[in-house]
Amino acid sequence: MVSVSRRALLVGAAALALAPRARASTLTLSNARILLGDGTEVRGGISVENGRVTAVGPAVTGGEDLRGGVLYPGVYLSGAPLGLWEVDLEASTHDDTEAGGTNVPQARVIDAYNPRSAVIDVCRTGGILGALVTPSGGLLAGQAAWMRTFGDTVTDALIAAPAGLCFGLGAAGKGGPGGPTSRMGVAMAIRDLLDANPAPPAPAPEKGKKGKEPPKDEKPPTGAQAALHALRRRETKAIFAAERASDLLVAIELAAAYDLDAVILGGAEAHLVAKELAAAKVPVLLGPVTTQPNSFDTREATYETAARLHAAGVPFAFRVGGPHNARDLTTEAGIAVAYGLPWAAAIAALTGNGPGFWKLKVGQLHPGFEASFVLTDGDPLQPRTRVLRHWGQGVELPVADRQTELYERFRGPKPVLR
Amino acid sequence: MWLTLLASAHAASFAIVHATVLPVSGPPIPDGMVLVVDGRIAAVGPVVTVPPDAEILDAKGMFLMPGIIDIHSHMGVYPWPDANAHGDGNEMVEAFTPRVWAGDAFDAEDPAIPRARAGGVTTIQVLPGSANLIGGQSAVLKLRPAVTIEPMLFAGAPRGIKMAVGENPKRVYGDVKDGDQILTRMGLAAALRAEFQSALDYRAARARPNPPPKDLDKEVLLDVIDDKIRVHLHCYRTHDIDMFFRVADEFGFKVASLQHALEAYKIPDEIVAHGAGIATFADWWGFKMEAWDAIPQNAALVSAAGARVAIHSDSASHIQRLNLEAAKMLRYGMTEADALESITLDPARMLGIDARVGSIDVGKDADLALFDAHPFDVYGKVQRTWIDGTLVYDRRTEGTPDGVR
Repeated sequence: MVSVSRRALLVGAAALALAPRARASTLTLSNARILLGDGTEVRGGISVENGRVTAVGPAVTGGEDLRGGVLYPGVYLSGAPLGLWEVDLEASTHDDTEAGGTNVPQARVIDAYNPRSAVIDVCRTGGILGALVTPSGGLLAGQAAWMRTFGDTVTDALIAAPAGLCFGLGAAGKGGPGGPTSRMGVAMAIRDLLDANPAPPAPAPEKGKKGKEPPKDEKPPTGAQAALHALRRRETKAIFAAERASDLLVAIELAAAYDLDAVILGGAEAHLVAKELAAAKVPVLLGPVTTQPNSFDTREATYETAARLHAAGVPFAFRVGGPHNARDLTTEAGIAVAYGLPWAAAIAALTGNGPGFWKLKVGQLHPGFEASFVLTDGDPLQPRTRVLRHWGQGVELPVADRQTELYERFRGPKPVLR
Repeated sequence: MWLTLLASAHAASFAIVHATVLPVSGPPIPDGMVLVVDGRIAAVGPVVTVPPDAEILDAKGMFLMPGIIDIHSHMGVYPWPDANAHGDGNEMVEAFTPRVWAGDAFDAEDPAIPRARAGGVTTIQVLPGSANLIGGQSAVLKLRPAVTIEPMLFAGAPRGIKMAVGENPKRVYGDVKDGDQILTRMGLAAALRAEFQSALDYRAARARPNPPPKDLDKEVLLDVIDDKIRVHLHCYRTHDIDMFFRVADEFGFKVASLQHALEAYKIPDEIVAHGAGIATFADWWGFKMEAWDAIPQNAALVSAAGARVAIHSDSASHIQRLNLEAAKMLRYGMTEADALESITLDPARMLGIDARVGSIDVGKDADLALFDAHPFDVYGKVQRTWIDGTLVYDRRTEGTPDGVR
């Protein structure tokens, strides 16, 4: 009984703290090294009102003294199946792939996202405050969403949805029930789909002005059609999962031919087509940084990919593969620095770059941005650096998850058995 | 190929000077010196006498540590490129295949190997996979450049064998429709007991008139029972570890290392009492139910309880940066000294090769990794790697070695 009530208390406390939007959050923190999320940094403090940053820099004083710690916007995973499964090998916990994902533009990750996932808690205490949550599998896997790693409901956790339609190119697009079996088929099926769903005419203008009337017998679009119409109007992005250089060129070609607002997810060989990506202004959600040259689709993968994209002027943000070890992304970014990426560019690719591609007000600490940030005891990219505290929309969040609970239970000379 | 390299890269004696030396067996030596003669460490300290004919390597600003040891690798038995045709790690024809040896499948030209050398790794244990309860014997290798396995064999290393309990053998041998006989953890334990008992029965029968013919599986099992082969047990959960210790006690043998052992932090005293060490991931978790209770403090807690702790890779990618995997352990409460030991001396002890490798001490093999920053600094890289005093990796000429070509 004791254990049950204590657990209930813990959960209750967490629930209160995890509903930041319900509270007025006014906060001042000072004496920190503040990384602003765009590659710049300031010394000083930060002021928060109603969950947003109002001022940052040396002029902000008072409030709580952070004793020179590093404050930064936290990590935003630019493409991860976070909140969509708990245990890799337990199929019953998976909600990331619908029907092989062969062609389901109407599938929405926000319908599957579990804001109370144990994996999300571990990510958050590891310094991750948001993620582009992506479905996967097959040709067109569904609609991605930007989510916070705090907030008890999808509504509270939601940053932006839909954030794009997720296409699989190359190996990612092949297979699945009834899906294409070759790269020819993948490109063909995507073209057929886009040809069949052209951008509809702009909505009729207000009365009194001349405009094209929709045909009277037109049915309202299905969910799938509406999603594709939004894509064709450039209201939502085309997210192309692809690794091999030739597949990246197909993505660039599709984006140009159909006027898509495209981004690349993965990009193991992106450095080989950096010039083309830069010219087409297609950003890369890059990673894992440590993708190996271990297969025919990633033969040219290198630790220098990020550095080479940076040098070529290709915008990019970092991502991870699976959700569990996402806290490793800071170390991965550090490896990219060891292989030539400027440190400030690595910080930006971890924080503000990804949300910036969507023009979201998260991931940076300039005035007007969401006041969500992480305090560490040193350089966030060093593996030994600890996450000390974190805040979501100006409210401090508990440093607690399933793993800290287990650690507390077993750390003593004798485990506390309950 | 190996001889050519010897001729071009092997100096009979050389000294690395002005480096911060991390001997692992003792505290760091700032501005230290290491003298290598005929492939062995001849001297180490703040100042050592260097013979006049020795080459001098000025390593000012750099960090010298013993070559990294990975006690859990599948390089060579799952060589790159990843391909169905390259799966040579699991002989899944029956649950017990002690007769097989990973070395017989080892592809010395796996392109992952040069990349591991570029990460400062000098010794690995190549293990069969974990599909079988007993998957086969391991190969302890030095990562000398070679085309076949023979020049890579770690001469004199004790034999090792891979065993596995828990979800993997359950999954592989749990298909009753297919005629499999093992469905539960009870079944795994019973099968282990029956197998070891059959080895004892075989021994008894061999001692009687009209003995049965020599059985390669049983001979290996008897070597296990006689503690002539080191047991490396793939395991995750407390009840799996506990069960295996019971079986080992019943048949009178010891477990050298618990591989993965993600729940070891819950029963460190039992592990210390058995005399086993653990070889674990730095912070992997959640990949299956067995890994659901993993915590990143596992290594630190078990180390503090007094057991040997190795950080292993189990990955041709992570083996390239085991130093950073160990560095993460500082975040979770391990001391710097213990974290360094977890990728050098502790795995050497579990493999029974610590008299030869694992620290920079006089008389040991000159297996060395020279970093341009502290090995736990993410911005540092290995500049040179030596095995037996022979330069086997030089970043100036090799950069980052290629992968699949």
